[in-house]
Amino acid sequence: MSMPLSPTTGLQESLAAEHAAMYLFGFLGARCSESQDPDLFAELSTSFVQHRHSRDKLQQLIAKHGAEPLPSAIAYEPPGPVTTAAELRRTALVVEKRVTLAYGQLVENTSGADRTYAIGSLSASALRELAYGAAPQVLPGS
Amino acid sequence: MVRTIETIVTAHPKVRSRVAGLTALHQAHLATFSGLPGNKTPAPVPTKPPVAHPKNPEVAYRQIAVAEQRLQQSLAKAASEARSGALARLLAGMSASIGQHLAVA
Repeated sequence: MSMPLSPTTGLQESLAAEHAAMYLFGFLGARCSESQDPDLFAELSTSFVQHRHSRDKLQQLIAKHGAEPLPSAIAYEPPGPVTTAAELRRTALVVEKRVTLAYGQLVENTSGADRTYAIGSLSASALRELAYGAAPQVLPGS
Repeated sequence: MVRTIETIVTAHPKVRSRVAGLTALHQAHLATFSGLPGNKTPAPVPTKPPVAHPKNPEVAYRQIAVAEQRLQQSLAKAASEARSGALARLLAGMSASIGQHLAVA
């Protein structure tokens, strides 16, 4: 079990993960050749769009709590090498796993509509992990 | 759920390998619950047993998949209603895990 967070802090931490994911999926997509790796390019593009949507939703939820959504950093360091298609896939998986973990933490630290959103987002992120080569896990997000 | 799967794969051995991951998953989830402090196993989430054994293995697999989807939804609902945050995270993870296993089955 992790340290308890306030719901707003949990939402801000998920937002931070989504800010990073959005930036990094854009970065990874830009490093991917659409002609040579069309499937990977499509997955990265889809992930980028989904993370952008999640970022927007989290900003709305945080505003509903009367808080100011934290801004994105200027840039994020990719958590792995990004030269080959295999490296892009592995690095994308690391990014996605961080998001899944953030939503697991959000489930634990929220209730009501915020938690319901977190549960759905955890499930979606766990599914996206599969596209980047993850094996199904016993407890994603833990 | 393990019982539901066993009943169907006994009639359709060809389906067994396809759902082996799901069977192992449910056993792992049961083990997780038995390891919780106080060792209180929660009441089982009700799943509808298959009405009849279909002759077609693909239809038999679909029966399992539908039952798994119901369980996935039940776990997500239980997570949303749990009074403990830690239990909510556990239940949400179980639900997400079923989704992952169904996606690759």
